[in-house]
Amino acid sequence: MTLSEPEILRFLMKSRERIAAATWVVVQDGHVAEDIFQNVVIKAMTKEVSFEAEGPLLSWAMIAARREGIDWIRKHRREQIGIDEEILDLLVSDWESGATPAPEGKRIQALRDCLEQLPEKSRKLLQMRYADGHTCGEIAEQVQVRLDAIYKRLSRLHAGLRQCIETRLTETT
Amino acid sequence: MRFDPEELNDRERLLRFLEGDLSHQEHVEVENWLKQDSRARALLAEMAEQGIAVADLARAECFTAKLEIAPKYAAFKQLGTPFWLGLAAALIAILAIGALLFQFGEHDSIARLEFVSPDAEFSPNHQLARSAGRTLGKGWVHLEEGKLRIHFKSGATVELEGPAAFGIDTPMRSYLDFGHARVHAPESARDFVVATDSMEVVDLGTRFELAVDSETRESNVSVSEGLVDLHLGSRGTTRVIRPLAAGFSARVDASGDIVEINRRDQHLADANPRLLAHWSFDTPTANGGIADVAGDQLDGMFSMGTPQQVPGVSGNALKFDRNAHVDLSEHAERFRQSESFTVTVWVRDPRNSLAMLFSLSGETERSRVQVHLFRKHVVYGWQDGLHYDAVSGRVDGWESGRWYHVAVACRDGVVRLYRDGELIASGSVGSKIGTPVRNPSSVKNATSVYLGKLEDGHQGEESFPQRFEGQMDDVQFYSGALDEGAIQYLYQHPGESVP
Repeated sequence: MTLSEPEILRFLMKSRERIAAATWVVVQDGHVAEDIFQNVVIKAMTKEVSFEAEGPLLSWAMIAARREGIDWIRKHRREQIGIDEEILDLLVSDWESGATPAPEGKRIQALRDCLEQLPEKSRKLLQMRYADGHTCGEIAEQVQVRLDAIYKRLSRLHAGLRQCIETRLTETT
Repeated sequence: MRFDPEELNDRERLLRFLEGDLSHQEHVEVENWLKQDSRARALLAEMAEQGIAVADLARAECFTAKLEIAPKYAAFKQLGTPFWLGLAAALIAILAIGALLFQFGEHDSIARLEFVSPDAEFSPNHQLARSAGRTLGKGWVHLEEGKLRIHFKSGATVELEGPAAFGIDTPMRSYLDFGHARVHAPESARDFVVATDSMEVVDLGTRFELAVDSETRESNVSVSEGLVDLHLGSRGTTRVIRPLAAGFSARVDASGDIVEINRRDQHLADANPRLLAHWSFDTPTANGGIADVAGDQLDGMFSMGTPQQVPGVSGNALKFDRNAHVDLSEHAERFRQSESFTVTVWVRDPRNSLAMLFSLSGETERSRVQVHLFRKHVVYGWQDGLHYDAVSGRVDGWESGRWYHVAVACRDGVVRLYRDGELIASGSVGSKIGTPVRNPSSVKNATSVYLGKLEDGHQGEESFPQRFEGQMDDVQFYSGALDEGAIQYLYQHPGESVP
């Protein structure tokens, strides 16, 4: 029995963060990674690829996204250093072994709660970077802060969110 | 420098890595963290996933309610996720309907039979139309003899030569059970797939030939123009992607492993490979150096004073502790002359997860070739400018106390990796970003040659050398590529060179 189109779409959307994150590591551009994820979804829906289970679908999507990412580098960024294939294999292997928890369900709810607790300035920084798509350099210019400081703030925010998510997940179990 | 997840600077550096905002040297350092430390990988993945999730949540109004939304999102924000999903579904439906109606005008047609040779014979299993000009839907073409040409509505054409069994699935996907197919996919059919039992050949706008043996299930892919990606492995398994460029062919076995890659119409090995150097480590030179026993006196210097000898696979071996290496840099020009070459090494107990065996580099690490072990891989890597790329072969690990024979042979742009006499990988382009294989002659201004070390980032920059800790024995360097038989001879006769 094969997965239906709605099932494929539902699963790919559920795995969106994971697939897009893996692609981000390849292309080193979060917004390109999101575009590539969309292409992968369209490919899955329009090319009549059939899957018998979610595991092979995720494996296919990861490979398709990685290949599109490599293809994008070939076309657009001849100067890009790229990432060692071995690291990508290790990342996927970490994910498959469960060493890195998937950002879905309760984890996403926890992230949502944690974001709401953040000071407005911090939320604004996250929004500018990840939702509005400004580079760290552009943000630094806009808010008149040194680039290093933007990276430091974002690094702290990621670490803070991680801690907050873990605390919330512990509280709810 | 080791990764410390509690250190803000290290986390910041991972973030910069994600943003592509690192110097080359920093990039290499972060790659080393990621290879060696699962905590670094977890943190990197987490930051990327958080970034994507934050963007999603922001767009879904989950946390932006309290924010002043940027003008360009203000109107879209009110639409919400259901609207976007609905829009995506509508677009997909329009695309699908458009594709169905495009060109052929028949709802169930996928391709058209463009040409059928007069001597064509179809087997009783044949399910589709048999005459030229007829449209073809989903199903199997069983050709016993003769030739035919199928034109897919994606623009791809496939020429089949009987006997062959060929499955038509979608305008962008087909299946070759056995037989011989020639494929041309123009830009409109980019990503056209021909699948077999053991792989998928993904066309990136090119011409290629694919043959599948009906008995052994072995496949042979030969690319005449452009580039294809081979997705190796059977359906439902985790697949490995290997690019294959024009002018090269790959033989793939029934389980999806590349048996070998060849430049088309060329021989596998040089007629007369010549032993350029052999460091047996049995006896030091008079001044305590590492003697080349091949006779060309390409002697090396050991970095830690007196070489530390231990019993080897034949005679003595050399023990490499931290910071130990053999410096062969004074002979750099000799090694650089090798367009085709072979390096063979006996190794025992490699302790670093990335264990550097041999390196030849120019004034900076941006021009180099290297042979190293990485966890369960033997790797041949090269860099020309900002690109680092590599071909690697997977092995089952490195058993403690056991000697392993590792060999790398390169000729005509094809590199072959062996362990214990067996071919474990070959490639003409790197699996990282698909750059062509480089050889020592491509290293500009070669100045550094080492056993057990890669000199990284010299010329005034901070240095991050990669090293080897363990034991090495009987390292040999040949000018010319040895074939598999010669490599097996070296494995079976430790201490000897190829007669």
